[in-house]
Amino acid sequence: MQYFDHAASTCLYPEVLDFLRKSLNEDYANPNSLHLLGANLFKTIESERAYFLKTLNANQNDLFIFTSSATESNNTVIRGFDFHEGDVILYSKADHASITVPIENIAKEKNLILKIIKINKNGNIDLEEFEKLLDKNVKMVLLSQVNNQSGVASDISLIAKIIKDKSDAHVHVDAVQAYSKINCDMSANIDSASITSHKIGGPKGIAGLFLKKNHHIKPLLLGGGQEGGFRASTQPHSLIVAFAKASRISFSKSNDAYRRNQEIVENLKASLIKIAPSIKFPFNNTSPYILTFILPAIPSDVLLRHLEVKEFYLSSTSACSSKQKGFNPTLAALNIPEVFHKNVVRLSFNQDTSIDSVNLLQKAFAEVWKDLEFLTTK
Amino acid sequence: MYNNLVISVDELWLKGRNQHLYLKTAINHINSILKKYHPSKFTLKILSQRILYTSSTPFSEDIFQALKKVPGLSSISPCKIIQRSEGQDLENIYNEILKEVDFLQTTSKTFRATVKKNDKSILLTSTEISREIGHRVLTTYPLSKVDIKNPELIIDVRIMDNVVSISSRVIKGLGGLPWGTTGSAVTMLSGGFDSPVASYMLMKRGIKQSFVFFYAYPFVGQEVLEKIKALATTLGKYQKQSHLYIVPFGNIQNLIAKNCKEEYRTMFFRRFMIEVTNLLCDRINADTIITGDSVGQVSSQTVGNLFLIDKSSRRLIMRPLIAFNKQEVLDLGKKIGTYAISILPHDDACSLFSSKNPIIKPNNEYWNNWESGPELIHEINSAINNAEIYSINLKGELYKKDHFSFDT
Repeated sequence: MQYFDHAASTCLYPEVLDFLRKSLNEDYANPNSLHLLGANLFKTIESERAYFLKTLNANQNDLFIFTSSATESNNTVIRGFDFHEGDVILYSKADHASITVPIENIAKEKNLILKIIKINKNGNIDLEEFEKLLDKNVKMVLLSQVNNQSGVASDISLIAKIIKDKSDAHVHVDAVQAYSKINCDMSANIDSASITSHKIGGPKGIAGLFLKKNHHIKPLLLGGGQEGGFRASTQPHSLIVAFAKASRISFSKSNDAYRRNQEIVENLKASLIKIAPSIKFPFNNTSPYILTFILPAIPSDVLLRHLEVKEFYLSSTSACSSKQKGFNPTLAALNIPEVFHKNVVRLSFNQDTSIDSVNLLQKAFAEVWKDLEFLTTK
Repeated sequence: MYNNLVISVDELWLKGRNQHLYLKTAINHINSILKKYHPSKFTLKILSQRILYTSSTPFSEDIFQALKKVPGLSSISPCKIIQRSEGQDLENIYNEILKEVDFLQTTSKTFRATVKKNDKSILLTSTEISREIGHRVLTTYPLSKVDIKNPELIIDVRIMDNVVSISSRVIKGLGGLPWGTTGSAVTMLSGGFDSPVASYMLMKRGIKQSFVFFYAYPFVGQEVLEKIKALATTLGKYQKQSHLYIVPFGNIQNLIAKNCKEEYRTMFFRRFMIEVTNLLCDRINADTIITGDSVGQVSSQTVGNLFLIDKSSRRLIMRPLIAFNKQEVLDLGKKIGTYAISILPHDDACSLFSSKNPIIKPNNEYWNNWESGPELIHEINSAINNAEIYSINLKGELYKKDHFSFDT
């Protein structure tokens, strides 16, 4: 089996699994209990919190809240912000649904003005156009550091600086596809950011929200006052520590993996073009963990299933929206013409993706292409 | 609460010497439904063309609904049976009738009473008794109204030697002929609107059916299977038992598409679907093939193309929708509950392969002499062995079965 859908969810590091097995069995106490068992778990959680802030190059006075998913993190910022009628928000329809759906909802509820961040034909933010949108009425800007569909990586530090020069807007970054893979620096101008565990070799059900101190976000969940009163719920100690362990492993591999994946992407592009000359790579400035291409005339789901028969697993669009047929608003926002919406394939890698496994993928792709090429002559 | 059911069988009078067989088949089917749905024992009595079922516990609405789908039944009447008593006999019957129709207290309905009696000791005539019933219902339930010609409610009273049956509800049956009395078929289901309706049409005519679906994975996704299973289980409620065969067809379509002229693809797909269906018929001893074809609907359904397909079949292909308009098919589909399933979107491999100009008048020489090649012949012959098989019971519950064994 060869898996190339790591951007949707990736496998657990074996060390993380071992830890979870043991910890779920032993560390059952409530971290908020006053006895020693609870207090020890609490201490570990607090030290992991400090660890995460450090990895984001944030100040130790800033907040890092453990949530259940990046979707929850994004919703917390968007739904917890004190918006007023007429406030302007900048966002991109190319972003993940956990941003676009809540912001579009709340805009309707509170009569906010949504403005779209323009994306050029290579999938990058058009900075000139972007600057024109900025003024003092802009209250929030929603960004993705790495777009989950295109893989395009934005220079968020630069963009955040541009924003703060012209407005007081809250800058929120979805860093889910970037964290521990490319540099995520939240030290300046960024007010909040989401990251998640299951994209970096940790378990599902645990994620994080970075919040700059002096933020204006109200909590979504009220109750027992956990997470400094910001997110009530008994903290899942084992998941939090597993998330931190995955993050440590991921960071330790980060530099090598970045270079190796760059090489993998370059080689793949070259060989895929040789196999299927009509193939298109529409995006540039991409993270080497994601390679998206268009294969005209062969529907991506047909290609995917033919590879699935050979036990190669890829993705056609981001998994959350892959049940949609036909027109795809995310792809439209990325300037992919609608005729190609059913022809988009996404390959995504993790930090252990080997050159060998990608060579096997090339071979399988060549076989499937040879088998289906006759369909492209129509 | 009805402990009795009177069921009449359709078209029996047409059957002459075979009456016995048809009646027996219908009774068998009814018995299986009662055994599946009814918790207590029951007895049955054949009264000329009607069957009376009696049980110590009342028959439920579920049973009425299930019986509505049994081919060959004309009507189902849940009824009350009361023992006759000396002296207060008629008064007693009137009171029971008033109780039976007590819903008239709150709902306004037109009605008529029909009375049949074979007891000469009662001096009143049937007409006089029904008039008296009418009078009493009208005075007890002022919301009710008599309508002899077109009543909403028929109060049916039969006075027999020892008992009286009272019924105020006649459930229309499916009609037609009992299950399997006219033959057996393999029905080709596609996931569209037509084929399930075609299946239903011939269920009514007593053809026992198995279902086959040609599954073009990896050209289509698995979602379509849920749809096909839902269609098969919906149709399965019209039969005592059904089977669904999911035949892998992706490879076969690939081989055909690669080796024939593009404009012939759909026609050759159909030819080999018919071929495999014939092989399945051989295997399970089915007499005929049912499809949802309607003349002129798509290019492969021209008269000429249908005829060509016919020639490649060793069995009669039945096409009950041949003269149906699309809207008529959709209306029937809504009635039998398949429309809501058929309308769900699914991948369709045919559109992937189909040509912009599909052949309307195939060249006979090309059609007859096209070489399928050894690989395709092998795939065709092994397709049935690789079919996934499901059995469906009369409640529409689906169970996975083993593949065919290879010892053919």
